[in-house]
Amino acid sequence: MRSEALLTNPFRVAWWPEFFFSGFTANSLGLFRIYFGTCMILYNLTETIYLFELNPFGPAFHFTDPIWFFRLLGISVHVPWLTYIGIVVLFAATICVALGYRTRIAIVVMFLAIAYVQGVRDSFDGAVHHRYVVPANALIIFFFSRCGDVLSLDARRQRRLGRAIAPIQEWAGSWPLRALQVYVAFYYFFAAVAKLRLAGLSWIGDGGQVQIKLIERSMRYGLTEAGEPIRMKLAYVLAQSPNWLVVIVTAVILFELLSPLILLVRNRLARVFYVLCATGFHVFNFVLLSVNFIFYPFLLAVFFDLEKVYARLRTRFNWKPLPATAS
Amino acid sequence: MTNRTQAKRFLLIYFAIVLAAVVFRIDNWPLSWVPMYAAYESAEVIPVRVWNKAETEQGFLALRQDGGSEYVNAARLNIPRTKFIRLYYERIYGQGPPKDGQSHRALSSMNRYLRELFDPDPAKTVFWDWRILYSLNRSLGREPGEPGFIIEAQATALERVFRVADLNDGGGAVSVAAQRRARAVWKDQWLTRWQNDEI
Repeated sequence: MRSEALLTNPFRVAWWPEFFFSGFTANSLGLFRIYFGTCMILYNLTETIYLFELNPFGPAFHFTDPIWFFRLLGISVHVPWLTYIGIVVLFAATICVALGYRTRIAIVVMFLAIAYVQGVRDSFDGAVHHRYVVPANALIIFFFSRCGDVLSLDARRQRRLGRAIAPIQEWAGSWPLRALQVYVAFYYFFAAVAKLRLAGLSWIGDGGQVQIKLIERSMRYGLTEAGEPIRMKLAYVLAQSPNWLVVIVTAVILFELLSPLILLVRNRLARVFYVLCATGFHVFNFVLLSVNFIFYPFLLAVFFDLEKVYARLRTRFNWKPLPATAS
Repeated sequence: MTNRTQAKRFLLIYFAIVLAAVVFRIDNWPLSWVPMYAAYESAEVIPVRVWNKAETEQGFLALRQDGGSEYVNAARLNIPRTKFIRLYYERIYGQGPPKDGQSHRALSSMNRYLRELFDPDPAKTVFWDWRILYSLNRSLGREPGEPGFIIEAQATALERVFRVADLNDGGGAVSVAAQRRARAVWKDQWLTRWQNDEI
């Protein structure tokens, strides 16, 4: 009966609302908004810090390869002082998201500021980086959620004005976090699919792609007189170990392909293991290949209920309890 | 979202868009089919250009219309050093960004048809020598025909070439090193592109 219903009308079958509309509360959503905004301050810093090399009143560089939305808007020249303003706006909007101050407006401003700053960064040489893809999608999801109505300055302001805020039911607190879980889990899966689409099993077969990148990155800074790489010696050694490369790439592909299964796992230890594996993946990518996704793992906290984390920390550090929320 | 039905609609539309980006290989922020490091072709050799701080601090050797020369570096262009390094060690050598190698590789017939409607193959349409000379001249305020117009940009790099067989045979990596020079030379047929700012 269930499988028939699934084929005729999958949107009426019980499993689909049950997953997206349960498991989190309003406080879970509010706490994740605060956590996300706070972590994005550091994340933004790592993404923008080298732009501070620029002279705000120096020459305006004509981009060699404007990013797609710059082309659409006819933006072909860098305006250095505008970039500084964009960075300040980005940080201000991020803080507002964390605090829940004019939350929806802050989300839109943050999204647009990311678009501008990233657009500038990627248009100098055409190399498009993907570190802001998942955070941007998180902002899209949060924009349509009620994350600004809980544990926020907006909620406090409404109470002071005597305006009642409709209680956030479990379904409203859950669907944004579940949606982000699905996106994060499938992001890894899509990465594996892309590898197999572009290169087939040869991507795994001889570890060749990783070997190429290990050599490129370790040789970037040259060799010492003794013939050793000046930096990234471990990457250089690993590039000469084909058997280890095959083991590593096989593990990476398996991790990526199996990533969506985390959505079905309720066991906390299993989730911790998954997050540790994903974090290790990003740390090793940074150490061995200079792939700068090292701060990305902060988003993996979406697989945990931060209200429960808060409750444990509250007991330990004697913090104030969170306001009660509607069930 | 004031009710579950609205939330369900949002989720359906949102994930349909996300999935469409994956199916149709759209890599336009904030959509992505996550193609990073996916493109791979096995090769017998791995060439690597070695980054040298002195080279990048000096910058491109720019030869002018009036016969003079100057150096153009990241500071003169007012771009981050990390981005200048890409221009110096990759773009002037004809090596485009990874997205150019990913966008048209191993396309299905449906995707190839759609892709060629909207997004020509960068391997056939992107000329990095033109783009570098355009950016240098425009950024420094030089116009074609003026004495200061840059007609050639040069970069030199030490290139090490590794044989994959040497890496894999356990005998230690062996590389052959050679200085390579890249030149971006102005062509008069680019004047129309210049006038139209066609990047």
